Amino acid sequence: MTPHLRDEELHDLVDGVLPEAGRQTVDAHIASCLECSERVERLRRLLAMAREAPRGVAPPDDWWPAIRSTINQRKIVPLGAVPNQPSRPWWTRPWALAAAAMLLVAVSAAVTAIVLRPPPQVPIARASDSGFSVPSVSPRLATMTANYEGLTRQLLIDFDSRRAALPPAAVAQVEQNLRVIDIAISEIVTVLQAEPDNDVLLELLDTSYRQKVAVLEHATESVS
Amino acid sequence: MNLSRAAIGVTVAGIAFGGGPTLTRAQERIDRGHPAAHDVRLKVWAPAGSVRLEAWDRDSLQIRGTVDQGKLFAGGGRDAMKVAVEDPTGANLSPVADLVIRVPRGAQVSVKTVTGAIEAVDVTGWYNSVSGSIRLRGAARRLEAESLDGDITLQAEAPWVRVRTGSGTLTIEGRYRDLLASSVSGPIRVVNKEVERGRLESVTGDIHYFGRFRAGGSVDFDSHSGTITLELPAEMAGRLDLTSVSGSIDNQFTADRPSKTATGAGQRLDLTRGSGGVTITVRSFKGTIRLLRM
Repeated sequence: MTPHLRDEELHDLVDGVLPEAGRQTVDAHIASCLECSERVERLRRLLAMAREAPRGVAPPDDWWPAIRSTINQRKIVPLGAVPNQPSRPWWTRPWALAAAAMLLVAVSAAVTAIVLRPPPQVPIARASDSGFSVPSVSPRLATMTANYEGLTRQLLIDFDSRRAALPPAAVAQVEQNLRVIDIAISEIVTVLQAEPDNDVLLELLDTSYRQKVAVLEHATESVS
Repeated sequence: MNLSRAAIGVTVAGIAFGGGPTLTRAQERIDRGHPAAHDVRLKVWAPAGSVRLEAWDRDSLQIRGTVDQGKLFAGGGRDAMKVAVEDPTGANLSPVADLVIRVPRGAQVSVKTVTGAIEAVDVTGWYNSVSGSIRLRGAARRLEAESLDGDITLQAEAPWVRVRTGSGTLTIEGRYRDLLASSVSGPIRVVNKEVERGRLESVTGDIHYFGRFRAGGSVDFDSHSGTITLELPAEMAGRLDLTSVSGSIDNQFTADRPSKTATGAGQRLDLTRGSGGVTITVRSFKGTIRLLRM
């Protein structure tokens, strides 16, 4: 069997932009490799969910002053320090991507907390706990966060609708597993603020998100 | 109290506490056979007790065992069948079954339990339990096992394997071409003959790999805070790329010392031994990575 497909090839395939020259090899590999075919399927599901997601999400009121304050601070630039740069749309700027990523993580933790109703003595770490500052975030992080948070939100809703069919001890175990994973995600995202292009962190974040998806899928499948 | 009132009281108590569904409370002995295709697809649902599956070289299905407080249903045709232990009264009696099911060697099974233990020998399939243990042995084409907090033990040879647990222990022995082992807080222990492609990952659980890798293969180890220990053969050839973002690396495999990461908070180590060989990537957020010599 040929080596697993690279991320770029997978994304090009689902985006329909894979060069014709490599298409045959990729198709042959997908046909014989369950792991890659599952990744393609998952990417397609994520993209479908992303298309259905709301176009805009208003940040919580108490976040906006911090974001605005930092934006204003960045307006003060020493003369001559920065050369003229071509204008970019505001939503592609690091602060917008950062805000979106942090917001999604916080919203996800909040949704997890609401849906799972965790015991009050076990805190869920949230990105906002570390004190919000506008970080620089890579488009890869923003995309990953948006994709996985959308998927896990849907899975949480599915799980919540079926939790009554699970033994209480199993529900408690699912909640505990999700809390452990949410804390890990929050810690990684916090460090990614300082190291937005750290591939190791991005891989670890991807792993944590996949585990969260797996926990929720398994919990839901157990009672379906 | 007169005798007639006492008798009525005993009768009412008897009905309320078990006098009704006596039929389903009795233990039912099972010994059934069904014709089945050599590649029959079989679904098994047995919430509590135990299920053992064995492959045999016959085109038939054999179900033996006992069912308490429930009823065994078996239906379907030669190509696809379903075996389910259910409570026909709907009185939430929590049926318990201990079953041994023999299936044709080419069968594909899907087994689900809640607390029931699962064991399979030489049977390809998907095994899913909420809290029961899962033990898979022998040769199979593919194996997939998931348990929320039960232990999973693999002593098999299969080209394609996926095993996941939340807080249970994953114990893996055998030879696998493509292996995914994942846990949240449970430990992962691998005593292996060989892995070609693999990914072993945990959030807080420790990962301990003792074994070999196939030349040309690629294996990734990821953990958020668990200790990752690799015990490797001294003659191993390949490349090892180790990073702990804010933890440390303890290298007792070679004399090489890890360097600090760019931020200075963690450590990394990049080793190349011999030519070709396996590519091993180890990533940890804040756990220790330990390299030992077998």
